[in-house]
Amino acid sequence: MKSTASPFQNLVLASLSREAYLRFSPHLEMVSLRAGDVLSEPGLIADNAYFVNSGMISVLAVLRDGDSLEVGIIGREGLVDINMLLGCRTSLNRVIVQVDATALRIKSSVLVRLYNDSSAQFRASGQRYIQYRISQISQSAICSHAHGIEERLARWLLMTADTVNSERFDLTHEFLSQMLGARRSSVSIAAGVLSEAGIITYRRGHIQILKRRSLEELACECYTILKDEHAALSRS
Amino acid sequence: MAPSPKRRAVRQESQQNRLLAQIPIDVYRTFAPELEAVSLHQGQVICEVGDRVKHLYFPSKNTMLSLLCTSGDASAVEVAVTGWEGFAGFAPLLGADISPHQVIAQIPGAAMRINARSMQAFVQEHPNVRELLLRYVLAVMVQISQTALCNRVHSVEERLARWALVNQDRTEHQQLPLTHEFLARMLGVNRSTVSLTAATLQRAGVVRYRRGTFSILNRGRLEEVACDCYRIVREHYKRLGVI
Repeated sequence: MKSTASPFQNLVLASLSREAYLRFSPHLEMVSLRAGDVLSEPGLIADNAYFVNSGMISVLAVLRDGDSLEVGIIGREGLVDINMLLGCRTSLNRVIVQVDATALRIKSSVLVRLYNDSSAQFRASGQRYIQYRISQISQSAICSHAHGIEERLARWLLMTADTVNSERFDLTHEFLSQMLGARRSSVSIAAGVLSEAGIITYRRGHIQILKRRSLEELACECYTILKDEHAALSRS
Repeated sequence: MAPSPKRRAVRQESQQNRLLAQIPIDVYRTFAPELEAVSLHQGQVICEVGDRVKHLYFPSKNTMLSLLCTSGDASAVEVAVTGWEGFAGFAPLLGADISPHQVIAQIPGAAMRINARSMQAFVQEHPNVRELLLRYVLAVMVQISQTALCNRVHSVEERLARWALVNQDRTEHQQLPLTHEFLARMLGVNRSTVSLTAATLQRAGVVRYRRGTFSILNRGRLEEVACDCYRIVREHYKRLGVI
């Protein structure tokens, strides 16, 4: 595995020319983010942006009564958050660290300025990333509406495994219910079905995927659609 | 000096859409020859998921477009609407060309459209216009993500009420021509569910829905019935300067 100290683990930064990188580098600071850290809330100005190197960040739509739904996953292909690339420092979603992460932090005001002055190449890669996030949001919209909790849980576990590059990760039922917009009891039942079938183990918040192929068969088509888009983004 | 009649006509035309109206008049005049006035009929499909986006559409007042997401098993649901406050077909502004949504005309009427390549060239020369339009893209993203949550957790009654309010905000029509089929497709539920829900709201004197015509009788009550998503999206829109 590459050292987490390399800024180029982040694919957006990796698309910078050496010259552009030198303009960014004095402003970048390596930080560790812990699962559960809230990076932004809707309606608040975010002081910092984060280029993710490892781990996983979730973007949620939220209601005052506590209901929420994950509408975006950010790994090392992206940054928190795209509103800054669209000229707005105010957060529009809750952004929360899902799996312990490392990231390069930059003041959002600096990012907005550097991005606006940056080369066509960097802007093009920012735009491709925005487009990818629009796909994620749109897929969440149809998925949350049309697909059952088991299919969605399976998709979510696969996407998490892909993002953190590991078949083991830590997750509470509480977190899962926030991500899937479902009651804790429904999430427990769905996870129980997967455990009994020997597809995953899930004990005291530790998840391990045992049979990836079976999980892929269970997951809704949204998994493959987004996986292909992610692959296209990583190649470009 | 009084503005010439031609100049006034150009200004009037741009006023039909709030985004176009925000483009400085001198810039707009170089842009205007590329715009084409079109008339859209209800249910007209402007773009399918996966299609190359050929035009950007700027609806005029009283016209409304609907963005839908679809799934392989043929289910579909509306995820956002755009009226005279915005435009549809944003992929070309992000350097892409494929539409992630199906776009259809929900309330028929006039719109201005521009060829995607002309638009790309235009924003290249006018970064301020690009910024203006991208800000609206962000607003649409907020709307889609809130709708994703809404479709998951709120009842058909709450969603129908929100949907009616969102419509009324974008049109001066007192009555909307809408079939149950159409409404069912937007909400991603079956027809009988829409009929039952509309009947409940009608009995309560909140709306009237007869022979395919939908009208709001009591907006205050409708706002009480609608879920919080209506207010949340409006607040974001205000914050982004879209409304």
